[in-house]
Amino acid sequence: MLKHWWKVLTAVLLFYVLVMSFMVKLDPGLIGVDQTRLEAGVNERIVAGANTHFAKAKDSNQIFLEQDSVYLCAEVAEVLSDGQVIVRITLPDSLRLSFFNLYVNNDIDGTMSLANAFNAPEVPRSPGADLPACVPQVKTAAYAPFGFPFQPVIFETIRNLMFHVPMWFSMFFIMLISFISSLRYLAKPSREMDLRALNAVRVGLVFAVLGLVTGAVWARFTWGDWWVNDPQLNGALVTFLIYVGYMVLRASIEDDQKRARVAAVANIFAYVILFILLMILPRFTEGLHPGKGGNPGFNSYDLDSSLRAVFYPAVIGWILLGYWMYRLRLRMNRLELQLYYGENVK
Amino acid sequence: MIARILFLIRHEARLELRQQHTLVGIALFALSTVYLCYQAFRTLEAPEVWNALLWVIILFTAFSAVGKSFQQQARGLRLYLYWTVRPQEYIIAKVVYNMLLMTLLSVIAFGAYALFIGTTPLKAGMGGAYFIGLIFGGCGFAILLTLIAAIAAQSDSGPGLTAVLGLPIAIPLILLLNEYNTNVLKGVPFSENDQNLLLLAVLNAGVFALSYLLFPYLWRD
Repeated sequence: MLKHWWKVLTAVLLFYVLVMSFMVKLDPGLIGVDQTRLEAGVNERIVAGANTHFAKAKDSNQIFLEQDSVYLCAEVAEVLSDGQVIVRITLPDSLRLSFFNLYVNNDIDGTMSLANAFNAPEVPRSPGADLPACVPQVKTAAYAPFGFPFQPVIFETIRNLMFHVPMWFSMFFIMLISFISSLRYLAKPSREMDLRALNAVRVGLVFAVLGLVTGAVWARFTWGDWWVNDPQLNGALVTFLIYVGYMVLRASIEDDQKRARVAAVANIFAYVILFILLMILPRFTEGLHPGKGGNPGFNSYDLDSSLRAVFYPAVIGWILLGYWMYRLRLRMNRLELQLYYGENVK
Repeated sequence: MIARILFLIRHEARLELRQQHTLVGIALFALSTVYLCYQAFRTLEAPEVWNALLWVIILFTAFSAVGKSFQQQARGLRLYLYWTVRPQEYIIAKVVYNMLLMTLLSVIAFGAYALFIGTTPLKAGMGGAYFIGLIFGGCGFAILLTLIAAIAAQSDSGPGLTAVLGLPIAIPLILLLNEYNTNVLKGVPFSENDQNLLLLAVLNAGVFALSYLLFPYLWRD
């Protein structure tokens, strides 16, 4: 049992990740308004929120608009439900032509914002005419539940972070095993190193497919299409195709030793290309993935503490699972060779 | 070492010229592809399409020219080279020779393309920057496909494998080239476009370094 501690750890981590990814609620946030255009005078608009508590925190709801740090207080006309509230906004006759950010604050949810929620009519600005200033009494939320951050566009799909990103980390790690095995093969040819390289690629390809699939689903819900033009997507597809090419190459050479040698060369080549494509090129090119123009990673995702608490275990868990799969696959391959060809590897 | 590399390059060129059918065959391939495109499109106004089509033609010319690099070698010659030159010298000579060949073929393909389909999107003053991209691209394909051809030559299935292994890796190269040359055609100033050339150079240098390091293992047979 002690020998297999890391397998137990893998199971525990992934169980934790699965439970947390799907059970943790999203923080409250504003989704939108029924009509974005405001007219001079009194306007009544419905504001919709997700996971909000407008009804529960009925007496503490505060609503205000903001434009260039000038605040305009709005009234709560009627609370329809926890998720919907009707607000009454009174605009003066002369206004700056601009957009307004919307803020809603209450004791339970804290302060939530919606950028450019409203736009105002084009009324020429008369000198001195400005928004009637108002100082909102903002209180922080009474209790802050453990929730994933509410991000516009991403919304609930933020849970995919625990699956999509670790798939690529795992693939990188397993392909690294393959790369090192191939290097060791070229340094000192042995059947064992060839088997390691081969089986690592087999498992790595599974993770590449999963990475592509989870990415496609995520892209569908955030960018609107299953496949978009993005340097990281190009790199991912090319990586996948290169490793499929590696498998085809192996299949096309009869002689065992020659196959092992040529495959090792192709594998080293593939890994370096993969590194250039996924880690270096995306840093310099424009794209849709977070953190473009500097970092292909996820720093700019504002990984907050609740995400971190699930994301890091997810990365470790998935990598360990990949390693576990690779070990099993390797043992199976050794046994196959022993059974069918009487070869004794290792 | 340099003398031997130069000798090897001359040797390759002499072989190529002696078997005239290969070089002429590839030039013919490029010409007929261009003519086929001419019949299909007549004239092309949109810079993106004009540029992409040219790159596809050059890409396939590269595959047929460089892809067979290691295929038609006589067994005796191989053994002779194996005993007389170092593999590093041989791969450098091969890469340099293929770069020269691809430069020539790119120019031929571009000439035919200009003749039949025309150069409408190419405005005055863009020629130099566009040509740099063309030469960079030709050399990039040559570097990349030399190693791929060396790997494919070891397999039992022959040059068909060059496409399977080479096309995926050629994708990023084509994307960079396409972006660089489309930018040129759109009139983007060179100072905003040179990063694409730099990335191309990095990619090519990486592939060249790998060829240098890995080829000795393919050579040993």
